[in-house]
Amino acid sequence: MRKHRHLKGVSEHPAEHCRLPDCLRHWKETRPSGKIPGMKTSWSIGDSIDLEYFSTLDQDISYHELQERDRRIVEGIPSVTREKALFAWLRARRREADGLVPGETFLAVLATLRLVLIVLGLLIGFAAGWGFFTYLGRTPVNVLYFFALFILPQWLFVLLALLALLPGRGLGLYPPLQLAGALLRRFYAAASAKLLARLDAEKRLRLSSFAGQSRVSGGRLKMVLCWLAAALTQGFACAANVGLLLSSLMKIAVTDLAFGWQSTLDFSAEKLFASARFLAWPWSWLWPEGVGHPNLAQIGGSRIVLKEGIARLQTEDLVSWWPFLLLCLLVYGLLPRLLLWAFCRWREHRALAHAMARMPEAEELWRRMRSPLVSTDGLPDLGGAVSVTIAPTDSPRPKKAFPTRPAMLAVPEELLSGLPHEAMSAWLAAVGLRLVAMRSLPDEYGARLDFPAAIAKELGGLDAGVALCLLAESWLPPIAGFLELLRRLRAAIGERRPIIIALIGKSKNEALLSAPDDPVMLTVWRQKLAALADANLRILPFDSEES
Amino acid sequence: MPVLEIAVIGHPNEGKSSVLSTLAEDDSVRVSPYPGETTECRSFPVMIDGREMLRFTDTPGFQNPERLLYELKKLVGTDRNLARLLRERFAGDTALRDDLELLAPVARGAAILYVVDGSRPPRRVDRDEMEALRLTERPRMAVINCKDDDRRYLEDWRSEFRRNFNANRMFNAHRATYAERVALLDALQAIDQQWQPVIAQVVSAVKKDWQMRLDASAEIILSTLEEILAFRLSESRSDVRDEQAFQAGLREKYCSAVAEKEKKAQERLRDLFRHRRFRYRLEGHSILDEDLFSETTWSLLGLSRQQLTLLGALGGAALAMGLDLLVGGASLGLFTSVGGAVGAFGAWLGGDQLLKGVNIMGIPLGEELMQIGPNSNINLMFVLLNRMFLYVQETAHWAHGRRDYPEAVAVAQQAGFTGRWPAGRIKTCRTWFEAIIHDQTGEIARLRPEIREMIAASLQEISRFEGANEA
Repeated sequence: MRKHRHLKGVSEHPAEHCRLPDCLRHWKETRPSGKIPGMKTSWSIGDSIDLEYFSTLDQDISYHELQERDRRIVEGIPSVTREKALFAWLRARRREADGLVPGETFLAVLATLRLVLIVLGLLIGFAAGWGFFTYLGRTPVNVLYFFALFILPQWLFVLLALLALLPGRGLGLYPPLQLAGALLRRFYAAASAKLLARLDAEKRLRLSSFAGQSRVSGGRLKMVLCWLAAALTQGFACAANVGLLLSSLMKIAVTDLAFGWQSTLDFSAEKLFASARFLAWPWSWLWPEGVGHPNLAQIGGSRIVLKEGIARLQTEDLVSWWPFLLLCLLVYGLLPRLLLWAFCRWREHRALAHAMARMPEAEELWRRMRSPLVSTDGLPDLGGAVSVTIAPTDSPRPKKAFPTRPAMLAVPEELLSGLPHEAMSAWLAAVGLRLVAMRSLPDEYGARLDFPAAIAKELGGLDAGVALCLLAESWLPPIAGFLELLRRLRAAIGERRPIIIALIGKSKNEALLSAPDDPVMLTVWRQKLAALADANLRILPFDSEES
Repeated sequence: MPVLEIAVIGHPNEGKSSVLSTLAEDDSVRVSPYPGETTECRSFPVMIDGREMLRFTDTPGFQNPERLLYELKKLVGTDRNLARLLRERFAGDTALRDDLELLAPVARGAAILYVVDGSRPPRRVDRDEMEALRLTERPRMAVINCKDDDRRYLEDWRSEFRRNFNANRMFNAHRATYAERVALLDALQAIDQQWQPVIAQVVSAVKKDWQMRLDASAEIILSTLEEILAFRLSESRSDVRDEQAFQAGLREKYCSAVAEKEKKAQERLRDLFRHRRFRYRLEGHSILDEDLFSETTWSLLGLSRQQLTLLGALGGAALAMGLDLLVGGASLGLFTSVGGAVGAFGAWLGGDQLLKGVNIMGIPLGEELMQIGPNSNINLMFVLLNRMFLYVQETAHWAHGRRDYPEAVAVAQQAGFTGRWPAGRIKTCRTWFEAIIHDQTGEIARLRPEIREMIAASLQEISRFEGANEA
């Protein structure tokens, strides 16, 4: 039932490499992130995914094994901090893993997506510019079209993005996300109800569990992903602007372009000049009138009147527009996008740091790595012999964890009288929990209704680190009534306080505490609780070896 | 008259669907080791002569027994059907969806068959469920379906049942034989006195149906035997260049045709005992999965030495020579007819390859055809008989609620149902067999009822067998 995973160090086995596609293998081998100790300074979204992934793999390993392994990872790190320890742990686990792990895969896909978006943006921008600046010698390029196509829409998008990114509103207003979110929610609600009804219990349970886990991960990384999406779109827009600029420059450099303007309305050259001067204000200190933007005479000279044709227009006036247009593109197109992109990236990193700081798996891991392993077992009796070399024995000497997290234990009323208190405390201590109080969980529904509020009141007077531990029997499936109790407890005690379900098996030899012996039921418990999407809820199966 | 309905109710994962599947002999019921397999009520009618007499209804497990009891208690005193009232009052409450669903048959007047896993101790949730069911005031009976061999809590359960149920009974849904199924149906009479005549009628019909199945099985086995023993295969030998290859090919066709006939008979037997999902799959070492003509099959399912001695006396020196070979350590040989008209023994075959050296005689049908069969070794008859008996034993007794279909069934030790047959029966068999291979239709018809009676008697014995579902 239990999976034992040990650190093996760097795998040199060629089979490990054979499993990876070439492009991903190359990426894994050359990627600097997370490979060189001491090089990593900030979290990536891949780290978060992998930390969660490896923690899931660890759930069947005994606390002692985990603690020994994790302590060994941080042993050699000087002046270890939480971040350093977690980075080192991730490095070690990734080295141990066969092939790419989910976080690394995500990063690889993301890097590819980023590249694709940049190339796509460049191409689209370039093509648009190339098409627009095609001048066949009949009609000059209309600068008003240029503004209508390349500047005004960008202002509109930037305005929308700014509205969405207003402080306190998050990304709720970001239109693509809002639309995608609404569509996804609708689709999920309709599809899940139909799909679940058709599935058998095992698949239904697995799917609900997956949905719950996704909600936990999604909830944790929601803001990170939103900012990531926003940064990707801004990156794409930057690339499109660069493409546009490049094609414009190229066209101007290698072809004979003429710019002009026209309007049916009574739109005077003076008004256009005033607008151009206003727009050119940001660079007017560097390039004055006549260079940074056309002067009144040049604007008047580049007006196209159809019945008069273009023959009368002077070349100097017709070419006077191009620096102004390119600078408009640079300042009103590319620059806001760059700023927005940088802002989104900054918010993405901040959201990630926030998510990592609150991640229960990281918290648990850091706690485990800080807890010293205490061994109180005596050496074998040497029978008075003094100078005897003791060979290491085959069976590892049991070690005890230093209980670090205080916990309040709630025991169902019907089990309380038969519960061996000392054995219970010893087991909890062995898995790092220090029992500070024990309460009875009422059997009767009416009394149970008041239980969450009472517990919340009591826990409210204690340290925020005190976990709530509930004793349950693994052979009884977790029914809706119990899951509802967990939901109400969570609502009462707040979302950050850990709730631990201490699972015991069917009693053997009249001893109440025994290990769950049915792997199917253990899976059922795990999946049912995962479906609750509670990031701070976990299962602790009894292990007789630990106690 | 309204149809009697019995709702199978209980905590999730206690084996309700398994009990129902076995009781109703319907293996289409979804059964799973994962709780929550049943999400909606599903009824299984018991029809007698086209008329629905009784209906079993599978229900989802309790999800909120504490709350259900709490709410039911609040309704006590109202002069109404409590289950219906509760369903009406909480109709839109999704948290109680499963609980309200399981009460649907109770609300329409069904009796309750409460299923518990007796290998675990009773808990408060079980007590709440039992009390909630008591409050519905419907007739009810408890069934203890032990999922494993732990018997420590049986007395605790019985003690709980005494307070809340009219009767209780042990019933292992995975190992229950026909007799146990009938016994449980019989016990349902204790649920309500008014129901006794209908239940008695159902039980009587089930018993008759079982007898009919055994009779039909005997007929299937007998007709298959007749077909295979008389089976002959001929093929044109013109243009044959490689005589050996041609003969080997013909032998192969003969063997596969016989195996196919046997398989068809097994399918009919399986249908007769209403198994749709369960297929008696025999692999590896199992006798039934081996080639019909393999050495192992012969030696395990063939005649006993005593029976062969008897046949030796009856059959003459040629058979005695075969017995000598057997005593000498060789496996039983196979000899083939040298033509229907000759009616004498061919050659005994010993050693490793039973089919090697089988004589194939060209029958002059325009001098172009070569014929194989009928097989004149009487052992074939007993091998086939024992295989059929074994198949019936495994299939008839496989509980419909059981889903741990084995990869292979260890049957080597159970071979030889005919090994217990007395000399008289063997003698009759020989006479009948000789009649078949010699195509003596009058003699075949004369002995047929007697052979059928022998087969039916063995099937009756198999029907009383109780070990097939042992884990």
